[in-house]
Amino acid sequence: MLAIKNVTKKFGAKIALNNLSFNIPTGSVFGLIGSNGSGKSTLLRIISGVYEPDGGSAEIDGESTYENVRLKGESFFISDFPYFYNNSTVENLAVLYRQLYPNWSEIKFQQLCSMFPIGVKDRIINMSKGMQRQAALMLALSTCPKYLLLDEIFDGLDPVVRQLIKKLLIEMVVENQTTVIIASHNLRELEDVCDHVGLIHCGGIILEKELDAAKLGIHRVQIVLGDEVGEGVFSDFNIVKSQRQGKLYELTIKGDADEITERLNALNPQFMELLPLTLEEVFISEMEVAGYDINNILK
Amino acid sequence: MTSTTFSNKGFFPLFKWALRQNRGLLIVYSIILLISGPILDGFIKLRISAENLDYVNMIDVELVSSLIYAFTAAIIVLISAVRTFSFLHNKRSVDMYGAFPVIRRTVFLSHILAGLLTTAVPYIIGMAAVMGITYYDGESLRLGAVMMLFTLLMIVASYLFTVLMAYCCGTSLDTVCVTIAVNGIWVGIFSLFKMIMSMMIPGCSVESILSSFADVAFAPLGFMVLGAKSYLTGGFTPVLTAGIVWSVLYIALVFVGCLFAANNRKAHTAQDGFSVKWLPRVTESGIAVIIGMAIGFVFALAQDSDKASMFTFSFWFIIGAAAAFAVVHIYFNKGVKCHWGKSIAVCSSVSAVCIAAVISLCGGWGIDTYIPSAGGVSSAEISVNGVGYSFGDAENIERVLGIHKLFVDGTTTDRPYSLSTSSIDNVEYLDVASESADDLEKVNDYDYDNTYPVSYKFKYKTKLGAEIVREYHMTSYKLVNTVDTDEMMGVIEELISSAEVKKQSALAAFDDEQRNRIQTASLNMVKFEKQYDKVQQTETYQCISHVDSVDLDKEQINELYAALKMDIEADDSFVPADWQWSSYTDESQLGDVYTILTLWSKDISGLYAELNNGQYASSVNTQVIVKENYKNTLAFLEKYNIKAIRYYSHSSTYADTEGGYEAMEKYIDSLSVNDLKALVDLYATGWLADCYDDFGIKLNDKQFDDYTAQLEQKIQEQQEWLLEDYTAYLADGGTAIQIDDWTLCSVLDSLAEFTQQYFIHLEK
Repeated sequence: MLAIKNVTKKFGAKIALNNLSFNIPTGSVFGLIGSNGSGKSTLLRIISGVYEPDGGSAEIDGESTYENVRLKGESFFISDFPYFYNNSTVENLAVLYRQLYPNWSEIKFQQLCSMFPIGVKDRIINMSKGMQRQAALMLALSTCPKYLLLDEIFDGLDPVVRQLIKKLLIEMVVENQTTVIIASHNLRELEDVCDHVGLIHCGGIILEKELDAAKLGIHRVQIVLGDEVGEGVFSDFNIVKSQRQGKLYELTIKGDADEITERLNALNPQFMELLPLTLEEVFISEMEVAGYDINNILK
Repeated sequence: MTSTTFSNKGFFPLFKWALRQNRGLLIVYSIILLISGPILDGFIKLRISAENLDYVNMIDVELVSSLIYAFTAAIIVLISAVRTFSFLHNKRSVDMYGAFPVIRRTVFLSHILAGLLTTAVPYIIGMAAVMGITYYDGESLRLGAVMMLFTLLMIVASYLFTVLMAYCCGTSLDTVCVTIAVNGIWVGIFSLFKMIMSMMIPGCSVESILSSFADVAFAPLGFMVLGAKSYLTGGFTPVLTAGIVWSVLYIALVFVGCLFAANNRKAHTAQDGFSVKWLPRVTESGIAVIIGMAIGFVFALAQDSDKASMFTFSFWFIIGAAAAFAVVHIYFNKGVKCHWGKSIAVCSSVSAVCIAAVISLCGGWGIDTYIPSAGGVSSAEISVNGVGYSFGDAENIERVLGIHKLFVDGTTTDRPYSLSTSSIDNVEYLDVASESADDLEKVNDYDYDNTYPVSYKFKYKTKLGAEIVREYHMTSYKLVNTVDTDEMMGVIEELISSAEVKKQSALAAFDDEQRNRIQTASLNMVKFEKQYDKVQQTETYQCISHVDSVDLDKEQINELYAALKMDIEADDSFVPADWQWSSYTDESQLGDVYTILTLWSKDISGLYAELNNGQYASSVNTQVIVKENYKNTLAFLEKYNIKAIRYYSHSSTYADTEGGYEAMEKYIDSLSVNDLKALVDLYATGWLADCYDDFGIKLNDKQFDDYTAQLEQKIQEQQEWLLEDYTAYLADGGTAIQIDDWTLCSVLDSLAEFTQQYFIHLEK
């Protein structure tokens, strides 16, 4: 298990992560979401050992990842802009990674070479953004990491390659019990592949739970009530957002679906429908609670 | 538990990777070395043959070629270090390296080793190849190896220092700027500090403050200067040995600094300012002070008055420092939004310089009054106009200290001192209107008349190994009035005629086993009156004409040594040949001729003799003036017929001057018929120099039957040949024909052959 324990990171006076704590179960695909500048990439860099936290630690099975050769050998971090030297090719990087990473799989590398449309002898720096990410991912997957840290991995990839990558990630999790942490704003893709999700805002964790639980803990309700119903009829509900058009109320309510249904039925609605939220809707709802919504930005 | 042990597993892959990144630079550097080696070799050989360089000049050429190599290495070091560690200055590459399964120390060690191999190995191979090709004897190779050692120390130290700066800076540009700035600041501040101190404090010599080793102590790119100094001094001195020890210590310190920085550098500082916050403060303060000092110095030099110089220096120092600080501060802060609160460092530095200046002007350091005690000095050296003599004898040390005291007593009355620009070039710009005619005349005695030596340097080596240097220039009218020159010169005369100087000057030459050749030469003293700024001047001309060299065997050397030793020891008024203010100079009459005996070392390489058209090369030559009372030595020269004097070259133009003509005329009178060869040379020279009539008459007076007529005809033939085949020209109004030495020599050789045949004819 990967444990984030009271991690604090400052860049000068700016606090990027503030006493952050949560756990990521082994073998899960963890989606790290959050507003811009919330600290997602910083957290990934701390987990991968690039940054040393100013307080707390990122631990895997009780060991800090910072300056830990063994744990870093079992991890791979692809940053939001993977770096390649001018003369780097997949082939010569493979030579380096083969010697650096103890779990490097030549078979896996050859499989991936045949899978991705990338010339292994071509200079990576001359490739498109998407191709560069594919190259980075080929090398990362070939190291057979136990912890794969991906920052905005879906950026610049075409839909087919996205599907391919999601498939490969899921296969790896199943085969190797790899823990994958993906930081992304592409919530649609995350929804497909993640089983856990963590929402970070202003250096703190707002939400961290299984994706299904996160999605099931918040619901959108469309309900039409009779004329006799007063304004305070929903005051007992944990309402995140409410809108009214005539007799139609559109509500976002936190809580158990059955309990909400039962209580709303008690109001004798003329029409009621309980709809599941997408991850994006969950994100927006939670961020609105945290004060990060478009109305606040426009103020 | 966190594993922080050194990982061999990660080291070699990263080392190979870093080496791969440096491959291009390695190839370029190797090509530069490959091409420059033969070019330097060719250049050296070309200069030797074209300019007839002797051994001493050869060392200069070798030094220049070594410095070119060292300078190239310094540039490559800077490029390689910044390039190899540029991953620290890019957030994306920091991500890549930071995530590698290695500790930071391993990244540092693997890259530093790759970088050093890239720079040091090609240098070693290239330099060794050049030394093998161009350096010809053991001594050159030894000096070359010393130069190589210091350059290697420079490479390692500079590489590590640049890497340390790379760890401290956020960008590669900052790394380059700060590396160059810190190197330059140290050297610049010390150079200017020493120069300004020597302008302020009487006796304070540039050498006396700190040695050249300290000049570059914290400027690793300057470590090659130590190598150059060892080259020039011919080997290791205690200071240079200390330089090596310091270099190694410096390398160790910077290496530890690099390890600390590698472990503690915040990864996020890439592309963002400095990881060490005080570095830009120190750098901008240093640059501000050095620019301020330089600007103050330049403006001070433009002033005539000493007091104005001090005020001007202070004013422009502060202005220059403030301006430089503002510019550098804006650069480091990436914009015009300056943090003036951070200017405390530069204010402190400027204040420190001002306080140091005030202390200096008041003589607060004690440099102006300090004279070492006789008991604490192991050797004392006095240099007069650059000619130095060293003394170890207690009595002589006391004499040197006594002379030094005369200067101290004569200068310390002027406190507080002023900033004297005159010490820069040893010329006092006197305000003539405000000084008395007596003062002016006295200074002129030193400045123009050359009656007394102008510069005096005292160098002491203490028994603890320290070196103390003081330097005074008699171009100041204050000194002229306060120092009793006659008393001082009397003591100096005692010193230079001491047994110690006798041993140092002439007889020491025989200690050299390889010294096996002598040359004789004549020294003509010519004096004539000359107007100079309405002051009657008397100038002394020396004309030295060489004769052919003579090789001596071991027995002859011993014989010469015995003869010379007897003569020198018996000579109560002995003065070394390089002493210009001796009694023989004063007593010499117009046209007096002395013989100078030059002792040369054996040319062990055999190469220079070939390249120098038969001239002999030597690392050291020693001259002895053979006076008329040197009976034993003159007898030796007579015995082996080593006294022929041939005039050529200078005498052609020299004969055309009034004094020169008189000297030659007197010389001809002194020659006997047996010196026919010398007479022929003079005759021919005079003929060619358009003074034929004068010398012809003299020669005809000697009554050589029809020889002169035949000789004249022969010379005429030679002249026609000269005019046809050489770039000789005739100037209007009877000016001498200018002919180069070797052309004239060949003419004279031809005439000598004719003379020899004539004598054979006469004998028959």
